[in-house]
Amino acid sequence: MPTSNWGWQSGWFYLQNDSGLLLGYTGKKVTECPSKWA
Amino acid sequence: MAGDDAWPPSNVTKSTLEARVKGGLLRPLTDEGLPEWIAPLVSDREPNPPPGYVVCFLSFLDRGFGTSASRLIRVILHYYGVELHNLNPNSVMQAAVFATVCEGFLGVPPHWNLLLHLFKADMSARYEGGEKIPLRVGGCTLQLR
Repeated sequence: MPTSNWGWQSGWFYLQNDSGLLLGYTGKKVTECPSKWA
Repeated sequence: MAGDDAWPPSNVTKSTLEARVKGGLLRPLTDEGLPEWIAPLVSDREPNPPPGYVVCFLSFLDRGFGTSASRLIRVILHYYGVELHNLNPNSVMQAAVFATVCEGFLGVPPHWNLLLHLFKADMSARYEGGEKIPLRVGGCTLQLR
């Protein structure tokens, strides 16, 4: 297993979303930390 | 990253993904019409997945993200209301380790209430002049309390 996360953001590719089980991609950006996260 | 609103260009090629297939981290291609994975085109300056696809990262595969996605990862995404690209490698690894502890040591499926007891999520950001700038990718970090 790699020991560094450096540059991981450049390693993107497209993965089939099996039966739509994952939330679809909208490009969402996390801009807040809702209270339920704590 | 180049900026808070820019995705870095992808450095993933078909051969990179085939190496992950060889390593057992990714399913082999079986259907040309509906491939299990697609390497981005050089012209894809930012992700533009075809319908029915999500954006994933090589480092997620290296840190325990299985395909098909485990029920635990799916529940994490739904609970926190984020998409796969909002996680980061450390969060994926935390989930994989948690699943291993549950299944391998406790002998139970990953236990949601135990996860919430042990972990919390936080917003990852970068700071510029004291200002918190949201990240385009990896904005949700799962961490031990």
